[in-house]
Amino acid sequence: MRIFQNDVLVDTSNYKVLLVEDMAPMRAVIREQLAVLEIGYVSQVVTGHEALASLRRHKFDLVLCDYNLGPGMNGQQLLETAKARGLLPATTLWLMVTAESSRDLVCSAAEISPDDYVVKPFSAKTLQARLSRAIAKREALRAIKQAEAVGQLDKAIELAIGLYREKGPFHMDAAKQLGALFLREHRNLEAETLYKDVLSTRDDLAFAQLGLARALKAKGDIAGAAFVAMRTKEIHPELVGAYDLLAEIYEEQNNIQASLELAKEGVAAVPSAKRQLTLGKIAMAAGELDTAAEAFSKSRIAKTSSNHKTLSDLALHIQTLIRSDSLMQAHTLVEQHLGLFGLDPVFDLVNAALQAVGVHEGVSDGLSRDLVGVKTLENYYNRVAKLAPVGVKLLCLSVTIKIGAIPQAEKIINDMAVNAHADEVSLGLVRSCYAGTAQEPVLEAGLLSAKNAFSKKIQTLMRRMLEQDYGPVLDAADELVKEAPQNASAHVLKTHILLKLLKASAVSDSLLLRVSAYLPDLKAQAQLKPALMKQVTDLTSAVTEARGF
Amino acid sequence: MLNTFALIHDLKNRLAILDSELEKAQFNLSNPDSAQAHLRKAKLQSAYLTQSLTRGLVLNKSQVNGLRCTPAYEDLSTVLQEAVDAATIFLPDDVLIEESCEPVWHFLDREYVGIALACALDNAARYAVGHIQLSAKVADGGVLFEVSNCYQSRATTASGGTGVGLKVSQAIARAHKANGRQGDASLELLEGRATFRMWLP
Repeated sequence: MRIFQNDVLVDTSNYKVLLVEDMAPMRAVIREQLAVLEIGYVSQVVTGHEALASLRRHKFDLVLCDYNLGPGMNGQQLLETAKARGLLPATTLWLMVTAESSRDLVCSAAEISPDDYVVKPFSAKTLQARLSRAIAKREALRAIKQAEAVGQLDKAIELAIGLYREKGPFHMDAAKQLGALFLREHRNLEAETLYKDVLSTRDDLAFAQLGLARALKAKGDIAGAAFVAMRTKEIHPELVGAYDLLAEIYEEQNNIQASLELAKEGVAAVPSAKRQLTLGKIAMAAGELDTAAEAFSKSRIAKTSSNHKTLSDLALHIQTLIRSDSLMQAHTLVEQHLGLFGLDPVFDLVNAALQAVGVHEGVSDGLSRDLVGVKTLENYYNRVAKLAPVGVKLLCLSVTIKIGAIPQAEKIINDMAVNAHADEVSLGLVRSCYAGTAQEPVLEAGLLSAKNAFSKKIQTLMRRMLEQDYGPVLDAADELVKEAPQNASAHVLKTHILLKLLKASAVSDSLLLRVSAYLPDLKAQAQLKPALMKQVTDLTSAVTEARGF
Repeated sequence: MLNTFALIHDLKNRLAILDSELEKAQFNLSNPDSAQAHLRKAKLQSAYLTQSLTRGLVLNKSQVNGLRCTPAYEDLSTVLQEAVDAATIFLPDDVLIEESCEPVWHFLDREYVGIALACALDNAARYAVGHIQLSAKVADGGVLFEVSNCYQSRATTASGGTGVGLKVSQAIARAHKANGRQGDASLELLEGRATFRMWLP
């Protein structure tokens, strides 16, 4: 089959096709239809795992994938996983084959969506039409995607704007691409304007509704975002992205129960590893430990590689294993991740936590007392606490409580309470570590005391800022950041003060030095808390401007 | 409500015909022309079965959960062409489809609109005399599809339907909602002429 698109001749007879279909008769039928289209190179696999293995080894022009693949991952999960793992080059087309019953789910994948879909049963002619359309779309968007792939985002945005304004066949695809680029570049106002423009043409487009909600959330209009996301969910109940977004919004609003319900619904719709992890985290915060353990366990099953992507995820999983007395499994899990995280100093802390509980349980071959394990853990904790993600700290807390090292547990609780004083999800996760234990009243009192004391300090600082007393409060903000280096509110306040001072008429060299010294720390925290990326961008721009570049 | 009994009855009859045609084809293997003719008839019944099941599923979905359309920007001429291609197998030899379409793109749910047009064309094919006119044009801020034909009862050749075609088309049209407006579909019988209209916002 030869197709002319944008003056480019596309000859599909050379196409390499990966056919993912669990039913043998259907595989035979589709293979014959591909033969009618003169496509001869067809690699056939039955499961999502086999598909990922094939995608890792070979480059395909087309993936023809059934949505329902039997037990294991479905077609959408496979697509999301393949994209997340970078196994799909921009030139590879993905056509989802679906039954009438799962059509809505396929169509509702607003964010990571296939290039097109085809409903069973279908003829070779229909398949040809869908393939031609997918090729035409790819060619229309090729320049944008190429610019994006090499990091020329301004150029990609410019091209997408041009294509959108032309109002040609693929202008809505360009709008979808453009909105995603705006959001990625934190150009939230432009994203909002774009999505509103799209919706003024057609108010039933799911991608624009969801995009608008995301843009509103990114610019801080949480109530507006919640309203739009809720409405989107009502209109498109299968749109799993709406559940994810609402769960995020409720999490930010500290409405853990609502967040948990939505996370459960999202997992029920498309149970990806990422969604299972999110569910696990929220379920722990809500005190639903069984749900959390199940979600963490499933998150691993849903992954094609048995490895967790982040130390925080690994630590959360280890925590559930330790709490269910599966210590040997926890050791195995840590060994499996040695190659991946072995060079990260925080991994030593994870190991120390596991060793501490091992010594206590007598699993470790050491003759040491608990004290040795606890001291080692404490030393590692003090060394890397500033860099350790929440999951790792929770593991340490669980371990100290399990082995009865209560003073150390209190220190960790104090550290976590000040670093997450207004984050009810994180505080819920802390509480889940001691809920139901004999030490609960003491530890809860410690948590509240630390959290309230830090809140007061923040409030005092904000009052002084309102009085425009920026110079002196910078020192106070410094103290807060030193006390709680992982507290986003403290960083936001400090950045705000620095921005005000940088915009003053005379900027001293000492201030510039102070900002330059602070920026690497802020960037490191932004790696753990992406919401701080805006502060990094703003402060970098302000300091560049103040230096007169 | 979906008349499940009528649908199942229709499916059973068509399966019986399909089975019979396949049997005849098998018995006539020594006569390739005759075998092929029976296979063509079997193929027709198979297409009817697929069509009936698809309609039943769509109607059931509309009654149980409500149909939800996923509109995309589509070339109307392609939508019409696909509908004609799908309907060709059901056309009697003496009936033709004349297609006319403005060069327009519009937001619609391709699969569902295809099913709605298939229902209309199938109905027209049962009773049409001469040509069936199929058209699409911009109207009232949306798009209007029309299937129109002169009709008479073709009792000798047409198979009776289960009456779900119009209900399916209406469910699909009404599932198209945008900018405060909702689609609709209707069938008008006037002075020997049948006109199916489906307007989408």
